[in-house]
Amino acid sequence: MSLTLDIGATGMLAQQLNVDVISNNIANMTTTGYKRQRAEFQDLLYQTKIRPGASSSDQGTTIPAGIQQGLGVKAGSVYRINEQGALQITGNQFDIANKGAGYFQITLPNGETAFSRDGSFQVNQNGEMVTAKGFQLQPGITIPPDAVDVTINATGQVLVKIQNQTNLSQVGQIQTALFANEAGLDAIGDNLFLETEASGNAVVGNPGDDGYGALEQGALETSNVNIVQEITSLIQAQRAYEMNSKVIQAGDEMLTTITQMR
Amino acid sequence: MENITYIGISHQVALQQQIEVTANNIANMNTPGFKANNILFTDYVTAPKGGEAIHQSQDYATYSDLTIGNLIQTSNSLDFAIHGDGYFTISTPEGARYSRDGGFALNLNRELVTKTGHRVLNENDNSIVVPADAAQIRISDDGTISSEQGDIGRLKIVNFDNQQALKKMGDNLYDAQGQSANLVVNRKVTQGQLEGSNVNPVVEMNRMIQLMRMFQSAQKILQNDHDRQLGAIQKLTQPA
Repeated sequence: MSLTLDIGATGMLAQQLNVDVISNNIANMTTTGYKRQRAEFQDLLYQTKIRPGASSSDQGTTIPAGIQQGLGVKAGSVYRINEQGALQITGNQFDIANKGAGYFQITLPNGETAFSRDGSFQVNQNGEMVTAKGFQLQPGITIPPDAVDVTINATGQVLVKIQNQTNLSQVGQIQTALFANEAGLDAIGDNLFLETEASGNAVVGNPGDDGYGALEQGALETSNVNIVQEITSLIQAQRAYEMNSKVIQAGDEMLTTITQMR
Repeated sequence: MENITYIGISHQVALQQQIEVTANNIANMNTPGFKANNILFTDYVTAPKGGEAIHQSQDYATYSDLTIGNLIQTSNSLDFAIHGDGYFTISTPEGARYSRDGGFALNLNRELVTKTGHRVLNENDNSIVVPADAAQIRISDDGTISSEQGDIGRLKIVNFDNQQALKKMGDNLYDAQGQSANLVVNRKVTQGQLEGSNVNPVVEMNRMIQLMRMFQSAQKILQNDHDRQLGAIQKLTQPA
């Protein structure tokens, strides 16, 4: 009987996680470059009470199905769905959207390299391209102070127009990184990821090359959260949570019935 | 004299089993590829000497409802759903296992694996390796996975003569219990979708309420019988 209570509890825990993941998606609905996550569940172990295939007589007849009692549910995984987000035109010359695979490389203050899909860059006091947090884009790109216009083309070349010069001059090349298994990246917040053993090493290349997405200046990749889908999932998760709580109630009532036995 | 008690208890034990199965179904309402379980009962007949036969209830078997669950749109290129009968073949350290849950991922070696890291097998019983520079993964109806650079492999989708005899192992996996796996010829696999659990919440909640009430009425029978026995003892022991 206590199994009913335990099974109901595993169901409630699982749906709690589901709601947590969905609420994080909804909270990041407008986060640049955010990739939505999904919680997935698996059934727990089974107790075999009567083994399928056990013989039921000495005439060679066997029990076709047996009795298997499941013990509930568990969270299988929470994974990112790395679908391309829509592009939003911002007109800002330092906003870059990646139209395919590849992560921008960001140098963290501790010297480590982090990876990001968020291409909203700015220029710091030294003319270097940095993220909103002030972390430098890698390879470093410095915009000369006398530049009047900056063009970032699809292949990641950064070209500036210097006053009184007719030709554009190239001041840098943005490079992006690919991973064997993007889902294995470690999210550290601030739209940043770190490489892990599961993700494999970063393979750096120029945007627009084979396998690397081209860049688009003056646009940002929006989050790929589909709000209709999230709200529907939220309703489902909440109802599932309620039903599991009802299971616990039913188990409890049955226990009460038993304790009333004299 | 105690027959009523024994029958009542056998009924309650059976109901308890059934509510545990129902609780497990409700807990797995959102588990991809999960098949709802049901329990079967039979009567266990005892014929005391000179008396009428007594039928007690005894649990007999669990069986899975094999109807196909709803398809959930996930837009993940590594989520696959089988339309119709069939199971994906998964390689685990304990041997081949089978699953209806097509939510896969890539591991470090770019092999197609389940969410628990077990390799998904192709028709030659090898793992399915996606080339490092493949950007788009597509699947055709017959389960052939390809990228823009060509075919990668065909998912091994099998079925069994007796699906009820498959043993649930947890982690959305089944053990074949020695049955031979037959390749499914007419198959259809779609991408970006997962097969949801086929648990019908309305049915399960209804069944749970029903079971709970039956449990209470069985309790009432026990209670009445208890009172009857008590009354009998009191009357019989009264001096005439």
